[in-house]
Amino acid sequence: MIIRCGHRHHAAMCLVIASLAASFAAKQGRGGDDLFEIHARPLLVRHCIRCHGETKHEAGLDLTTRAGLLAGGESGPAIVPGSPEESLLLEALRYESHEMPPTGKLPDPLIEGFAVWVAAGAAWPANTVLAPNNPITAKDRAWWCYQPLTMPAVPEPPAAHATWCRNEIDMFVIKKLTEQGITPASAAPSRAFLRRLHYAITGLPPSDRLFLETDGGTALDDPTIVERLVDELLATASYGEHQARFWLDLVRYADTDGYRADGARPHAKQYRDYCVRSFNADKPYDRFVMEQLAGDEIDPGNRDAVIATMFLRHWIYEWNQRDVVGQWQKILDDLTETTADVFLAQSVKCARCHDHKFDPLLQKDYYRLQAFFAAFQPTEALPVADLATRAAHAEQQQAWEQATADIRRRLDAIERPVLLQHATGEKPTMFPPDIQAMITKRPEDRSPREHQLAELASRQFKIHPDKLDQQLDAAAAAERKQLLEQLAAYDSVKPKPLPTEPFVATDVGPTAPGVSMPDDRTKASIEPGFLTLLDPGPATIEPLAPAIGTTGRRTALGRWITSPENPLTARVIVNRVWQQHFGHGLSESTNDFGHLGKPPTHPELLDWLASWFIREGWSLKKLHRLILTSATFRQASDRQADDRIAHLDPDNTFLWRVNPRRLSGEEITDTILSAAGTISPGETGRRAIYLPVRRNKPDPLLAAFDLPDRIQSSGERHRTTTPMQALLLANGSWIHDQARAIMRQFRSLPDQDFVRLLHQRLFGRPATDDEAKGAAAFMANYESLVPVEAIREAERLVAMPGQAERPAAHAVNLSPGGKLSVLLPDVDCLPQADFTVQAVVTLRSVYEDAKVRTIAATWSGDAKQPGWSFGVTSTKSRYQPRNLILQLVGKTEDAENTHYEVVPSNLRLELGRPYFVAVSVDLDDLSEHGVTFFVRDLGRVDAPLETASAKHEVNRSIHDGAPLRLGARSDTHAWDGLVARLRLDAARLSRHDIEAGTSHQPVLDWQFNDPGMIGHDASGRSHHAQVLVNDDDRLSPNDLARAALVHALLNDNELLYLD
Amino acid sequence: MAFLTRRAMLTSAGGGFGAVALAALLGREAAASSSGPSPLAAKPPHVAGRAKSVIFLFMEGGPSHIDLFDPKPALDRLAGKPVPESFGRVITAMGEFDSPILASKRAWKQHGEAGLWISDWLPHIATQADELAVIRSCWTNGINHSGGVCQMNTGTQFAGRPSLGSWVTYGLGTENDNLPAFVVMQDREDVVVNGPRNWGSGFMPAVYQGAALEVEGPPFPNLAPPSHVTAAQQRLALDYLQNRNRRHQKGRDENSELDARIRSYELAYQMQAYAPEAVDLAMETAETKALYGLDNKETAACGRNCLLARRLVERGVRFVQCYHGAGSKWDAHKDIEGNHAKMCREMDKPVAALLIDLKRRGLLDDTLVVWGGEFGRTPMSEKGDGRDHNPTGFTMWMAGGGVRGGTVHGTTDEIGLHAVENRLHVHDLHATILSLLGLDHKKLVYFHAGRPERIDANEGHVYEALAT
Repeated sequence: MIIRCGHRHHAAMCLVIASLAASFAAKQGRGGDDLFEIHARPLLVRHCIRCHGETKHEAGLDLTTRAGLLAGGESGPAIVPGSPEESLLLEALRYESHEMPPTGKLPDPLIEGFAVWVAAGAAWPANTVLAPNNPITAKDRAWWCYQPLTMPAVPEPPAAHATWCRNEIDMFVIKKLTEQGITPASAAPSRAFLRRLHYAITGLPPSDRLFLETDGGTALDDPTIVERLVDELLATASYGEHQARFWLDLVRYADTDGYRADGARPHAKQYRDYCVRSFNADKPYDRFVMEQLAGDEIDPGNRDAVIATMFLRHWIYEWNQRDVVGQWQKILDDLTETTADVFLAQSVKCARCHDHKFDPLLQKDYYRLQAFFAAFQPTEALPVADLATRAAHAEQQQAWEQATADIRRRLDAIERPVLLQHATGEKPTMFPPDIQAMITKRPEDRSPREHQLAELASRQFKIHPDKLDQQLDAAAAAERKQLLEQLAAYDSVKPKPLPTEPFVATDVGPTAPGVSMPDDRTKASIEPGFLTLLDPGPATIEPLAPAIGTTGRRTALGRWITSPENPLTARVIVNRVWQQHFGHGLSESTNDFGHLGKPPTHPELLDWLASWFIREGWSLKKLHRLILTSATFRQASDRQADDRIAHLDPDNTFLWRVNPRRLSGEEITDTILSAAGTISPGETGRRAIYLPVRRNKPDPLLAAFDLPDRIQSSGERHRTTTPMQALLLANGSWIHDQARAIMRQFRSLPDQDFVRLLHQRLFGRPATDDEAKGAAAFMANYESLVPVEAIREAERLVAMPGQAERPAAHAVNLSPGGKLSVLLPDVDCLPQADFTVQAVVTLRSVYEDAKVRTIAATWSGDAKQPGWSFGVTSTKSRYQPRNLILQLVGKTEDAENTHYEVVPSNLRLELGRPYFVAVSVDLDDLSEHGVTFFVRDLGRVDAPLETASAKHEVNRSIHDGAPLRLGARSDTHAWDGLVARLRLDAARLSRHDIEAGTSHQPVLDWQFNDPGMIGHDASGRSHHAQVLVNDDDRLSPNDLARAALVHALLNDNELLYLD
Repeated sequence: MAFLTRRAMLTSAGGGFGAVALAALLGREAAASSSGPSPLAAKPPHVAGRAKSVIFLFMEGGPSHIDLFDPKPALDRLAGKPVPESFGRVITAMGEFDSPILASKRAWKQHGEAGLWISDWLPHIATQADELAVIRSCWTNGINHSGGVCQMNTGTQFAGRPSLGSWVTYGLGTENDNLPAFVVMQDREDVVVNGPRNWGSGFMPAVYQGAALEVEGPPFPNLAPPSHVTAAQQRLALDYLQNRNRRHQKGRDENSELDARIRSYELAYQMQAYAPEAVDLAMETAETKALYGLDNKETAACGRNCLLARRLVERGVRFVQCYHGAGSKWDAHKDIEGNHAKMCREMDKPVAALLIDLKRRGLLDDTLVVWGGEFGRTPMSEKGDGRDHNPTGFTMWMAGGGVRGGTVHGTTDEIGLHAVENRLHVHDLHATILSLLGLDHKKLVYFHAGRPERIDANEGHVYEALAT
């Protein structure tokens, strides 16, 4: 396929050349060599040899020498000197046979010029091999981001603004402003500044206490107090949590694989926490980068350094992809592109298929960079041990391996084919034959690349060495036993396994597989190297200690990236930090310093900051401190652009104010959680940063507020304002729940104080008189609109719909998290053996996960506690959704351990329909008829009573004194819908009993007709239900009005925006 | 009685917010004029296109082209034998390349004036043969559902790029502010492969992403307040909030986002009022419902989606995607007879009804209907009576929206394994769909991370022969 970006430039260029060539040819009858220079060389160099030349010989054609043209390719000679009409190349140029170049037919004068050269004998200067024009021009080299980093002198501020300046940043900024004739904005009001500063460092609102201590922020009018506060806040754990948020966007962090299954990555969060720790410890940035690229190489005994290599693991992964080669290449591409994006702000992706059309990034550079990852090996068990330990271990291991080589080879020959044959998951035979061959080989016999591919493929299935004995034939099993005994004899020389870390990365070994460019038929090997423009030679790879067992390539890449001489790295990270605080970087395109991005508005400031940053030991905390204590950052945000500014700089690139900003999704979440008291200052682990990032199902609030997809590196979030955000904040249940939680904190206060404290908590200021009046009026109005039904107890009983055969009955309306618990505390009457449960229900919804909607249960949900639970499965249940099931927990015939089992009926309930459901258990009967289920659709007059039987294993000890609970087990796995009746018999009832309504050994028969007697027992045994109402949840109209006020203020722009 | 008194007082006080809410409902123009244009404002196409909206009927799991639209007599001849080497080896998802060829048990007939070959599994769609432009030469790269579905939606197998619906929305905006511009439906509750990522906006802002219509209850998430908040209370609260926000906005005029946010609450409120009406099928006649098969359990789910799709494009929604067989239900690795017979029964009548209904309402000319899955199925058998995934050759069809009906385009080889003549890659299909909407896929560019991105990764060609 042909990539066409930028073809317009080519076309324009072609026209210029064409007219030049034509005029040359017409005016001066030149000799052969001149014809070559005029007609042949430019055309071949510009349009042909990229694909038929130096590195690629597409269609077998090499057009860089005369011999190559004469030899031609798959279709024959390209030219016949003297005979343009017999020359295939001309046919192709004229689009008569092959159409070349494929990007579009060249202008006729160019083609006819070429024909003139062929007709004249196709002269070619001796020993001339055509080479591409040097793709990197002097102009490219002059591009700002490739210039060596220097530390410019700090400009002297103009006298008028000398006192305005608080540090060097301000002196650079005021210089630009003064040049434009713009003055800086006045200082931000103290309260607004306190919020701005606090969010900037912690991502959280200032606490009530901090507002108090700083006198509503006014203390911050003293710059020394600002400095002290900045230091204090930088020392809190919240700083690292907030910084990690930005970093995780950059490194495409997620807790799932993406693709269809979106499988969980339970260990990924170690990386997230590592980032939080690293930022909080103010780990020097160069070290932080080194650890992520090569932690396994530079500090193998340091667990954090090993965890850091998870940076190399965050690519999307498809668990059942049989195109193993394709998936592996995709992973290497991801590493190449992410590394260039994150650390270098170089958009190398374009160069994957061709030289970058706008930036001096060669296709070769893409694969030179990729070569640093050529030996890449994801691993689920990387030893964490220092070099000495690794070396000692390796020595012992080697000795053991040598001593046992023959035994293990023979073992492998017996075991491997059988293990693969009995593998579970995806079958090894599903892969193409070449991959199967790699899987079948012993790891020792594989080439490095074969091992990488075999390992990637092997993630799709699981082998079971523990079952080998049953899978091998007797002879093989016996031989294996013998070999294992022989092997055990060497156990004394076998080293003890080292502690390991999962979900990390290292190299396949000390030798890297070759890397070549796609489409290069010669498969010329590409050695690791940096951007040609900066360092054209191959990279020097220092060998590492053999015990590390890697190539050292990633260390070499890391050393180059973190070298103080690298013109990109420090500029990139300083620019990112600047973006955090001012909304845009000094160069606006933080992930792309190329020609399609924007050059810095303050190049000297960027360079000074980058140099200062390196000089100060790559300390991010110092960098934040410098920025946040500047007068530039202290500027007000509400300054209006006057005519001059509106004309000169409407986008505020010269920093004549601080841009106001909306809170991020994480900040909105954390702000609300803080107000609700869920997050306390100094406490970690509960903020939005700790929510799992599921690629296929992101958190709804974060996603609505522009969380990136975490599939590629993202250096800047979109800033959208959408009705979907408004719907989520106005109607979403989470925020309403939080509003109630906040309301409860101030529940005991009179209205006036409630309003006052609420404003203080949310906005860090008291309510104005107008606001207090407005809030009071709102609450009064709202309260008056509270419907009568909401106040009365009766809300809990509703009419049971559509019972075709029965008179209308009432039902209790249950929902997860609802206010009612209905239970039978008298446990002694509950059945010890056979039992039958009957109920009349409707089901409103099922859980989205695998939780069960419980109709009734005596089981607590603890797999070690006996009991039973009768319910309906949910969306992700392995028994498929809406399946009526019985969970039994007790003992089985032959085991003393408590056994848990699910007995499915495979009878399914539709949502929203009334049903009679029952389960009858004969505890002794372990046949297919031990458990019988009954279901009848009560919405249809003639609906049959469906039955299903199943077997069970638990046959004793099913009850140890837990209460019977209606509609939930403990407080989870709750019913959502109506329950009109519940009957329990301490006997197995037959179909006939059920149809006739006969009871044997009744325990209870709960009914729900009288609001005052929910769960009245009609069996005559007086086992009435105990009904507990969660008092805390019984909200008065005033409570509801207060919660509505809180909810409105949680939607308030004063909360969602920072001045 | 104190309650009633308070309520009476409220009613008089409430005239204010009621009036505001009504103004919000009616005053689209007024609300829209107060700051910059919405990114979803309707935009003219690059050239006049025939289609104004798209209904993409996505048969998820991969329907068998060689049992539906692309008859292959050679299959009977070669049944039970391995694929001759001359057809070229391919990697298949389940490694079934070497399995014997499976005959098609279908009875084939030519339909319509144009005489399109359609199998006996699709008697209703066959009545619409003269509306269809059948493309038998589609091909794609993804051999798995995830990659295939992702590619049919976004152009590549790999996540992270905007969906076709997002590109169309980005290019044309919407004709109706009160509904999402890009709506997605599915016929059953199982999760569509890749989930909501399929209608995600990738690297574009979230305003361009598809909104999934819920199978039950309120059509979109968060469209209604929690049950403990009454409509009157919600209006009161919204009014209170907007008042506060307007006061907050004073002195902050330079922050245009504040105004946009105030406006977004008004838009949300309108959506809350309009969206339920748009999806209320009670407004449809019994005849229409029967036409779509709503009266039959088997066809009801797909029929509902097709009918909703018509109601949505009628109301100006730009791009509607209906998944049939959500959760790879067309994926007939075994028992293709049982599987496809059932899937076809579910889908055939409703899809035919959609074409009939659009036509009789004069909507078909403006509406491009696209039918197909993420790939086709192999001529080779799997598990004896099923078929594996076939990305190298499969059928899609389009109808309405400027498409020349009653036509067949491209071919596959003798056994339906590889597309041969007029091969249309997914990129070409996307470019062609955009072209029918009047959008030039080469000009529909979004700059992302320094790259000018297109739906077709710079590789697509418009297939001109499809258009009238």
